[in-house]
Amino acid sequence: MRARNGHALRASSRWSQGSALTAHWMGGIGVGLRRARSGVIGWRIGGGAGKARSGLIGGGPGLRRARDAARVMEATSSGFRKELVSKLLHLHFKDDKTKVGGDALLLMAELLKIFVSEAAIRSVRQAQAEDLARVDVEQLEKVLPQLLLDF
Amino acid sequence: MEDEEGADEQQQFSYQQRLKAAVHYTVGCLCEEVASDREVPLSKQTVAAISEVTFRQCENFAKDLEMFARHAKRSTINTEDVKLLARRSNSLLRYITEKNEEIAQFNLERKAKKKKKLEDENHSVQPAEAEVMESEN
Repeated sequence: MRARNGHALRASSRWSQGSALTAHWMGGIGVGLRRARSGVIGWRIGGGAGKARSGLIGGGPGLRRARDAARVMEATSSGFRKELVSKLLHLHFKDDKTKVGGDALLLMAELLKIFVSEAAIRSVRQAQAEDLARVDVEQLEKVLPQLLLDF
Repeated sequence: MEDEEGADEQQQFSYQQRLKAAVHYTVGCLCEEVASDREVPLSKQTVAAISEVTFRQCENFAKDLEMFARHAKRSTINTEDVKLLARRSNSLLRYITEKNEEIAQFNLERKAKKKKKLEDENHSVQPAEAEVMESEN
């Protein structure tokens, strides 16, 4: 049974805690809230085999998995290439003298990868909450506001 | 004169288009992974929309990073600036900080390995010590 009335107030109190709620839109709220109770940024921590976690990082175990899987992740799963990130950033710099450090470039590549993964995963969760077989732009539109607020 | 400016604009525009295409490719790969994991397909329009959002968000990131570095009177963006960029969500900040420590750790290990390699090479040049090492082994 899906709750059809708006739970925006409850959602906004979660916002103030700084945790990210997924699927807090009318029509998917009941199921969405239940799914997202631990409500943090969720992203795939998978190795090369691509085993998906539930997409939630909840404290200790998730972070440990992140550490273990990190090296494997960098080697096998796709991500943003350093030169692409560098070109993207340099495109929008106002000052020509601005440079980006090597480590900062790696971190930015990681950040962009998380951004894309979050967008995809939250859209998938929204579609699952609405009992749809595939993800369309409408689901992305619903999760986009909270995504942009989180980044 | 106007033609030159027009040509410049064209060049800039097509450069942007190439970058967008590169972003779209990477976004497509990442979305494909997510979709195959969850077994929920993403429509092509969704992937295109995500890559458009990513491209535009990069502009905000770049401007913010530049401002942060300038505020610290630096011309090179470093990891502290990136961490400041990720401040909006607690879990995101935690993850980025962890990643930063991993990268720093990895760099340290690489430096240590390089140093050890150099020391080993120095030792192998001197034959007396090489004999000692062999007898120890």
